[in-house]
Amino acid sequence: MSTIAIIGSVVVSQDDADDRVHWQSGAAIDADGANGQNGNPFAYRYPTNDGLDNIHGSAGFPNGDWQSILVPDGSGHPLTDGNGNAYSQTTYTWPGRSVATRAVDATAVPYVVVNPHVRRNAKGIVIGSKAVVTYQGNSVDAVVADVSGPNDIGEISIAAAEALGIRSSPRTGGVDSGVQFEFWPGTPAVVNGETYLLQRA
Amino acid sequence: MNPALYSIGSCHRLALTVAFVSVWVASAIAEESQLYVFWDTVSPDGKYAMAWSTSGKVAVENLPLPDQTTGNPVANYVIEVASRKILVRLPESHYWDLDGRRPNHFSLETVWSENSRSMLAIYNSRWSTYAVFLVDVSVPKAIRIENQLEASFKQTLRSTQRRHYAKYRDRLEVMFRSPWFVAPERFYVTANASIPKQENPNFDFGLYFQIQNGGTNVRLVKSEPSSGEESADRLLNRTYRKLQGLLSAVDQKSLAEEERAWLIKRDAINSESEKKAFIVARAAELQTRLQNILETREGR
Repeated sequence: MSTIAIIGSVVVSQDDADDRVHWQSGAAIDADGANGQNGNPFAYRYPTNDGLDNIHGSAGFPNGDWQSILVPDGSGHPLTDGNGNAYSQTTYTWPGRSVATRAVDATAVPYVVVNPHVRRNAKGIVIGSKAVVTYQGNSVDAVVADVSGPNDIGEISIAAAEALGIRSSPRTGGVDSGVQFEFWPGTPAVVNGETYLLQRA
Repeated sequence: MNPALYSIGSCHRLALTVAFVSVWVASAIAEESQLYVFWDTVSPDGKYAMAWSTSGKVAVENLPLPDQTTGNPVANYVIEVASRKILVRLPESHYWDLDGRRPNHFSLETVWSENSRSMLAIYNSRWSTYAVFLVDVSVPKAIRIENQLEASFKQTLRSTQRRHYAKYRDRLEVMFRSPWFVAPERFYVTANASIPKQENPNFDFGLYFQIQNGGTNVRLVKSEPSSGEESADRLLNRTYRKLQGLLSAVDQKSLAEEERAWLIKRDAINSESEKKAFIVARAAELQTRLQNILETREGR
């Protein structure tokens, strides 16, 4: 086993035998990719900002590089469905699908968000790989589907939080400690009957 | 349950020394006129820490996110721990932590100088740094320095990355983290510039700043490419310093003696990988102790 990253006070290790990457930390909540694919609310609403998550702090709109989180409409605004629901993106993208269905739905799919340093340092392809998240004795199978900011370690989708009994609000949810993260780079995830593709950077 | 509630009178009466009032509440509600200590920000000598209060009674579910600048009832301070005296308010700062709950995707990272006189407080949102304060408790005063840090970092990128930086500069988000005082008047910070969710480009630098003019401004004195990650040694030192601030004088002495004995063992290890693993294990051990103390202080 070797240490592949130290993010804040969290040590991330990768096993030699099966390439398992693992750490223990708190968990923040990610809403990105929730675009109504499964009849659930969208992550972001524009311009009202009354979606599941905060379009300013979490999507960086309008001052940050929001085009990496939201889908731009080509005229300087987030693309919406016409009813104020803004389309957001995950790092994992289903090829050949429409803007509404190509991201991974945070409200329906248990997924893990990986720190960019961990993604860079881990041996094997990370995005699309099999993951397991455990909290207070409960585990959920997940897919590594998104990349966090460089300061964050330990982040899961709304669906993963709900499966584990963690407060799932993308505005005030999450938990400080006690969450075990594991993923296996190079091993495709199978979640909700769908097999994920391994996607290089 | 949160027992760490202290009466401060009005949050506008900044120099008020206040009495300790231990109050147990049935649910996570931020009470007006209560001061909440961020226990993981205590200085190495145990005398100072950051704290927050609200200007009204607010349920944790309704506490606003720190990026709400208009009408945000949450205020952040640096206080004297024993007396709960507020030394200085950090303007336009609205971070909170109540009953183990924090604003999702926001963080507050602090570090004290070894002499417990200066403190850096870095406020990060999901993708970028939005405020950095340099606090001098001997005055006391707090100045915002994020613009100075960002200007220095961008100048470093311009001069070292040239066309690669120029190609992406309009899309880069800048974040500072892992601050550390390398001397009483000099600090280090890790700087990252990247595009959210993308692996490239990614610029990581370690920046060294000198505090100048009595703490009114900072000057970049050295920059170097960085892995962007904390080293095992720094992780251990950071944990040790935080733990030290939360211990009694007797326990501090005991910890120092324990650390000396541990250093002898560490120095006897020849293999670099084994030495790193030994340091990481020691950091984990101290973190467990730190976490236990924090949970006790926070009443969780």
